[in-house]
Amino acid sequence: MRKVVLLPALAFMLLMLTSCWNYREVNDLAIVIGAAIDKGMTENYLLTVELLEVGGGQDTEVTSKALSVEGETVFDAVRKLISIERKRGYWGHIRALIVSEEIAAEDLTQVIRFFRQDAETSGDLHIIISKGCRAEDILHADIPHGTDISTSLAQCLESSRFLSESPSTPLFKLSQELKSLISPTLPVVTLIKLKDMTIPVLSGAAVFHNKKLAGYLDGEETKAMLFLKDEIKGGVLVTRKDPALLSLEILENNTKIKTRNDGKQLALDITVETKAAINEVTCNIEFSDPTVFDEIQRLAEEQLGKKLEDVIDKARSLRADIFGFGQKIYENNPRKWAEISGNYDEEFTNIRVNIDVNVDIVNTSIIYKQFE
Amino acid sequence: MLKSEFSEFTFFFIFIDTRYLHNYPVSEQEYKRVVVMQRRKGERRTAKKPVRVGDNKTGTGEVPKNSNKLAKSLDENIRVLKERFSNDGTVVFRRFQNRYLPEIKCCIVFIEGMIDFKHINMQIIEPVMEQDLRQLSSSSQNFLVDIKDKVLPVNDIEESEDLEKILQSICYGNTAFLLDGYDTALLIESKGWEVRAITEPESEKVIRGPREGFTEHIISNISLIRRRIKNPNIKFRFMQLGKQTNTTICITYIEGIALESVLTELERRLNSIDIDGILDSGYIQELIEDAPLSTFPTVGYTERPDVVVARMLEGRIAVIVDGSPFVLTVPHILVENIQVNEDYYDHFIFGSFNRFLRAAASIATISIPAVYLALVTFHQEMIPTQLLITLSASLEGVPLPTSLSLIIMLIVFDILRQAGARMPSAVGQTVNIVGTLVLGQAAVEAHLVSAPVIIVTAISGITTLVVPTLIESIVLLRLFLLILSSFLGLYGYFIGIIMVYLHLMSLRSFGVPYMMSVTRIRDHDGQDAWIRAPWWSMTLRPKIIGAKNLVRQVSNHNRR
Repeated sequence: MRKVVLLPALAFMLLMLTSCWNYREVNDLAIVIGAAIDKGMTENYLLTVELLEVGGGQDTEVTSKALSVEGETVFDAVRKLISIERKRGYWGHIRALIVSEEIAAEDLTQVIRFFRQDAETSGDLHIIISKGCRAEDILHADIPHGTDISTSLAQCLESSRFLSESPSTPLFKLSQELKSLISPTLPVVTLIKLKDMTIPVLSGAAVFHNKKLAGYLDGEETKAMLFLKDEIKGGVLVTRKDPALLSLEILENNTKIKTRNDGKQLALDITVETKAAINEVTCNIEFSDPTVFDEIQRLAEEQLGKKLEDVIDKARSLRADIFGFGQKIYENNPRKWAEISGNYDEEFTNIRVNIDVNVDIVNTSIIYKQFE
Repeated sequence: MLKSEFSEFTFFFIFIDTRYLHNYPVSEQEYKRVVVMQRRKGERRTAKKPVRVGDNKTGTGEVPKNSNKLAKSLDENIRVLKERFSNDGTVVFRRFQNRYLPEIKCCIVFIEGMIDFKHINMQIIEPVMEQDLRQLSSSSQNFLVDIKDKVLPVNDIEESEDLEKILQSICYGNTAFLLDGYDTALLIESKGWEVRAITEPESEKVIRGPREGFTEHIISNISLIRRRIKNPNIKFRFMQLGKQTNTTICITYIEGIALESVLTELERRLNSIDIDGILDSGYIQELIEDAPLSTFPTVGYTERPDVVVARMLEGRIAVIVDGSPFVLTVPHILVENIQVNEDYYDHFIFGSFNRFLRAAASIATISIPAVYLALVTFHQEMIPTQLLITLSASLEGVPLPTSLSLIIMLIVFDILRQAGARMPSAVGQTVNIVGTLVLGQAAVEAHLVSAPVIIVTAISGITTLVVPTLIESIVLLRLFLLILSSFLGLYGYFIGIIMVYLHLMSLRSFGVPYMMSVTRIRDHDGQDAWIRAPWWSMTLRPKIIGAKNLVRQVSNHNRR
């Protein structure tokens, strides 16, 4: 009884007694909503921050501006920012950190260490890799919606679970993955031209191997990767049943990876169990025939299985174990792991993988003989 | 008539009576001397005999008495009484004789305004004056007793020789009947004065429930209680307190339910009171409180008879004070502040919900300003980004720091509350307009305070009024927590909350833990604290308070 009362009370206090204590007024802070890091011209890094400008008065007007400053280290640049912006930057609400390709290819951790160590920045910060452009260009691009680029990018990532074409990897998860045996994947942002605007768009994932950028996955490959990592929450499976195309909405997914050790050869059994609903059919299908569902399921399984195999091949070509196969082996078969860990990059390309996909259509939005 | 003779000269004499000038300390030096002397006397007294409450038996100006007994002579008695009532034009001495027996000389003494004229004329003067008393007189051993027993048709009559008692009785609206040749007076009940009608109390209105409220008249208050408990077990013990005011107070309890230990302790505390006047039960409340320095009340009060009776049925003891519509109840614990009589008359689920609202509001009202300040000035990380932006916008251009503007606005709110409480209702409207328009809207538009500060003040102010009996504690606690929070943020707020909690845990009211049934929900402790359990399940009285007779009802299981 006492524990029942004590535990929530302690948990509540633990939550409330965080953060640092020093009195500062909110309006004396320059709220940093996002940042971008590039290679500098004269010094090591070029830090670009996106600051929120809040106009007081009757109608609150929030705008954003991007400022750039160079520094030898990230924190050096952060402090040098004061020479440009009169207020001290407040990093507690930073939503997105954009790291340039250049730095990512060198070593990602050199810049994100600061964000992990600093007292103000929080762990739910989204790390995004800029592809095909400098990171600062992203923050200087046109704002597609809302008041600032960083928030809209972060919101896109947070709602990407209905799309599943970008991995949402906040800082805390990234640092966990960097510590574990999984090669991290980060979302990628590029600039596209839309009418007379240049706007940032999320697409695909950047694959890291040994803290370095190894390659990119496109949207479909990212989705397949998320299937294998059991992180898929939604999205669309487009299935071809000639001549029709069917959109299957993913309702629920459960992926299990088991290691099988028969003799010397190590094998992984991957079972993907997906529940989906038919949301769209591009031309009439005779649904009155009960076998047609079985066929759709079979086709979906085949086509998804193919995608999964493709993404595993792609990861093997990059030598990056983005799915956490190594982690699974270590957990289930530590002896075997001890054997192969020395040469895991090579072993990863050789592990036998059996994929068993099981798509279950639980819900249909079919109309009998739509548009005769 | 004697009366007019007196009243005409009294007022004149008050102004020219030189005795007053002699006794009055004329110079400042002399005044200081008197005060110092009185203080020394008081100190010596406390050193000799430590008394808990009221240590100054001197300095209250007791009238010196020559003799405590009446004389045989009527003239002498009248002279003594006139001397004691000198300069009092309201005292009436009415001499009269029996029409058949002129040698029977008598006099009644009463005070105008305190008595019922009709009653005195019909029940006292008429029988004594008109009846043929010759036969009674000839066969009588003690004529005064015969008059009492056979002539005066009044319900309440008493003999007394004690001059002090007679004086007090007259002051309380009784009539003293003096007969020549007897050193005993008859004290005849003749009270009759204007009393306020029984109305619904302003401070504790209900939607559902009895509308009666106590008045300033102790007897009618007692009858309001008695009417609800038709049972000889209810006891009323009277005592007089206040050396000058002689205020009647009445201890009421139900024998067999109230704890004797509490009763003894209450009587001990009441008996040790030595004060010159009691004008409201608030005096007594402060004099008998367990923790007089704490802002949390350890003696309860209410204006409603149904509440008093409900508390008495749980084992509490009530103290009714003449002249005050507020009846005290002891022991008093913290939960009583959030218990409202309507909880028990409404459906228990709704009652529990209302009680939860009250508890939540009283916690919110002390916490909201402190937590807001802590979040805005210390822990910006905990505010959602969108809210932070909004806050930042509203704070833009405000010169005062948030902590100072919150403290100022809370004090301004309390000033408005004070002003509103004392104002006549016509002026009250003006206060409202000034409060809302000038201090709210205009201050925000002029960028003197930020809009969230006004909102926080308003929420906190409104929630204060949900628990009216705790207002004084809440107003002070809120400022205390706010100041702590302005130094240390949430850390300071929690330090303050822990301090308050420890303080509450250390309080006792007549031996009963103040936090009783707040901290435990085991057994039947929680039945009437955070929730109001249905009546059919409240089979037991609250612990400790109702320990003398724990079982309230055997069971009403058929309801379930």
